[in-house]
Amino acid sequence: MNRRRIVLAFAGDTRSCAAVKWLAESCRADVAALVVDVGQPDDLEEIRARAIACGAVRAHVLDRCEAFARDVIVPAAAAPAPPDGEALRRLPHPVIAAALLEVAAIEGANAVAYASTDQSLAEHIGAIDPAMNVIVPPAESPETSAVRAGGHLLLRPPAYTASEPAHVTIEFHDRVPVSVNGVPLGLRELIEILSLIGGEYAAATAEAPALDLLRAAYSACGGRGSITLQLHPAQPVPVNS
Amino acid sequence: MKARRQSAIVDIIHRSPVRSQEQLRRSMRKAGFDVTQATLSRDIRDLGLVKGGADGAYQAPPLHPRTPQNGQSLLHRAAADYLTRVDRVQQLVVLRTGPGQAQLLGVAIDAASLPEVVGTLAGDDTILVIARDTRRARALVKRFEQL
Repeated sequence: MNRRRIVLAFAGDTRSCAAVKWLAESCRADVAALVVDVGQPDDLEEIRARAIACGAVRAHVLDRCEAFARDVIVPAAAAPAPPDGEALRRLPHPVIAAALLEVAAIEGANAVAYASTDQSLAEHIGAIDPAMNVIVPPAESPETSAVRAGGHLLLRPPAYTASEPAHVTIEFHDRVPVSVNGVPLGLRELIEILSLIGGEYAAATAEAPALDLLRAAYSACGGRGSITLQLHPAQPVPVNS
Repeated sequence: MKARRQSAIVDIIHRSPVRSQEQLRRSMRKAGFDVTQATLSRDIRDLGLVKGGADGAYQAPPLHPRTPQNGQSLLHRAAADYLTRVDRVQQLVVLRTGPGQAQLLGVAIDAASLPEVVGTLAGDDTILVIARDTRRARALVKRFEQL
């Protein structure tokens, strides 16, 4: 007898782990877990091993950082209004939806699943393939959902606080950033560097300093040529004498 | 409960031909689900089951029909995205991918039903493809290098 096959977007949190078991038992399905790399700080190999330990028949890791940076972050930086709060955390959803459907096609799965109450991912899946079944396993009790994996390329990494003013030069080709301070970089590295630099100078409340820097650069030069931004420490920092 | 019940329905129609709702209701009762005709009708609609084939039995709609052609086009895409290196040792072909991607490419190779392939074994970033003989292994290497 053929069991149905379901591809689950797996983040490594307790809800994702519970979802593997729920799909396997309640839907009597073989679960293929998918870990989409969108630059989150987690150890993805460990998350993949966790999916297998929870009962997934296979677990795949797909690196979608470049697609995320190119198709989502760059347009968001050039858009008139910046994403904030929930919208910022949902930014990778179109990329994750596309990866889920790609893996579902290869796996021959007739359903995809994700473990979250957020409808946004289902909407992105429906926009690409309206015929695909989307399963959202029920949430387990609140006390077990405390551990959350997540984050993505754009969210602020832990940073030092700068004490001296500095400047950063961003160069664009065809409205796409291609180098920082004269060093040519791939989009993923470029955003990581801007997160680090921006994180040192941004206010403590800024969630995505790289996005703020890119937005400032786009508004100053329209995504053409190169632009130098002056950075000042967000808060005065005492300097040892 | 609904997911479990609907999953049982799918199992039953896969196992033997079911031509009427009454027959399905009896099979469900044997499987431990005592359901009304109305519930069954709803489930059949939810699952998108259709009557078809020469015997008029219920069938699940094939959402992603697997044909050799689309199997090969999926393999083409998967290889373009994930395959990084191809090696051959006699009739064994060793494929390399990024970490965590070998099984996905392995599934794509299996689904493409390549005539040269006897079987595949996928680990984390390496796939061992067993070809029928050395000559077919060479053909396989050529095929992967052209993908």
